[in-house]
Amino acid sequence: MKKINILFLVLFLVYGGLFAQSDLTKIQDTDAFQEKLFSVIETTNTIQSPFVQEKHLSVFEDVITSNGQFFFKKENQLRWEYTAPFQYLILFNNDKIWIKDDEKVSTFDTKSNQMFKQINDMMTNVLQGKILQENAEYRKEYFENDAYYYIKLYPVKEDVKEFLQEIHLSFDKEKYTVTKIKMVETSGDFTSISFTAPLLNKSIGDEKFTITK
Amino acid sequence: MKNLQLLSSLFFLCLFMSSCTTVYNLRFKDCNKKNIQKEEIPQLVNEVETSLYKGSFDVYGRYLSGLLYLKPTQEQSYRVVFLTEVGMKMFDVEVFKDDFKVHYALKYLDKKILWNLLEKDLRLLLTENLIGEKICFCNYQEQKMLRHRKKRTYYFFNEDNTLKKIEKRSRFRSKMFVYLENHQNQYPTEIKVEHKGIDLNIKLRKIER
Repeated sequence: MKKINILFLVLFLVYGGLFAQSDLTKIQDTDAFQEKLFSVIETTNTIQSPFVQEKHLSVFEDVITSNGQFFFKKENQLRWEYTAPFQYLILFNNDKIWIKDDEKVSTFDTKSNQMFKQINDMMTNVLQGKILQENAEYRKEYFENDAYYYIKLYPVKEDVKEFLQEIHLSFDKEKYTVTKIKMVETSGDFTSISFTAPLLNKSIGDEKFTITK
Repeated sequence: MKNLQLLSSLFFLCLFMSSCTTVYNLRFKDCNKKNIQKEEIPQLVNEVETSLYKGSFDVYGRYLSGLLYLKPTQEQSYRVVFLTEVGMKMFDVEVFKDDFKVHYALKYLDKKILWNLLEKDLRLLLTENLIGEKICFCNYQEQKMLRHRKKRTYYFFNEDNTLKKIEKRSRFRSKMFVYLENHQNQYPTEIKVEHKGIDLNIKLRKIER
């Protein structure tokens, strides 16, 4: 009897541990999830949130942490700003991009620079969750637990695969907002960005998307 | 007439050469020539701790900015990783005392000429070991200076013995300057590397990890 109890305890601990590590289960009705998500995307005109970015380098135990804030306004205005431990600002305003690095300001044009257009599109699509509509660009796997939906995206195109192996998105189960992004590189390094207080459809002035020198 | 022209040319050539070789108005016998013990060498940048810098590389017309992560791995070897601000890795190299390894680099950065330059700069900053080398203390315009005669490298120090400038020279001119500023606990929080004759400038500013 004692041996059976011990065996049971060991099995329980093993399976219990496994369950705790991967409590995600596959979403049964992915169509229903996407339908709800896309309707939220349709009715969302602005998104803003503070964020915490953590860079994990596979060769070190250290994590490089930075903080910032982002503002997004339909169709194509994005302010992505790092505030600590350094100042760095990326502004997308329709076809124009500004990067402010300390005092140095650089300007780019997405019309003449395809790479920046791709970055622009990727960032705005990821932040909205619209990236899930890009069926030709990514293979997808859908998971959920009690707290969030968890979608894994695997790039199909070689030029993206060179940089990114996987993108993971976490969605709040009630609001369908993106709460976390994890970008896994081919080296095994990954960057996770957590949005700590997302707000939808709060008014954002156009001055947020212009550079002030 | 021809001889006069030749003599004039020779005269100017001598004047030119003499003014360059006495740029610091030093003669070897004016310096304290001996093998220096470790305790006598003012703090160099090596033996640096794990650090994070906001950095920029101006290299052949291309401007790269990001975060430079520096970690000592073994005795006198360092892993140096350069990332974009958004976290994408641009290169990952390791500099040893006698070796340099590129662990990873974006394709467009993976150029031998860049690694040659970077290796020399990192080696100068991190792994230079002056113990047992033929160097001497000198005084130049009341500044404390260490001179490595063979390598034509000059180290200038502040009053508190912190390193403030490194100059590498060829026979006739300066090749590069390294400026080390705003020291905290004897380590510089700002480092600028300026190459002369090569389009490469590096700026690093230490930030909190």
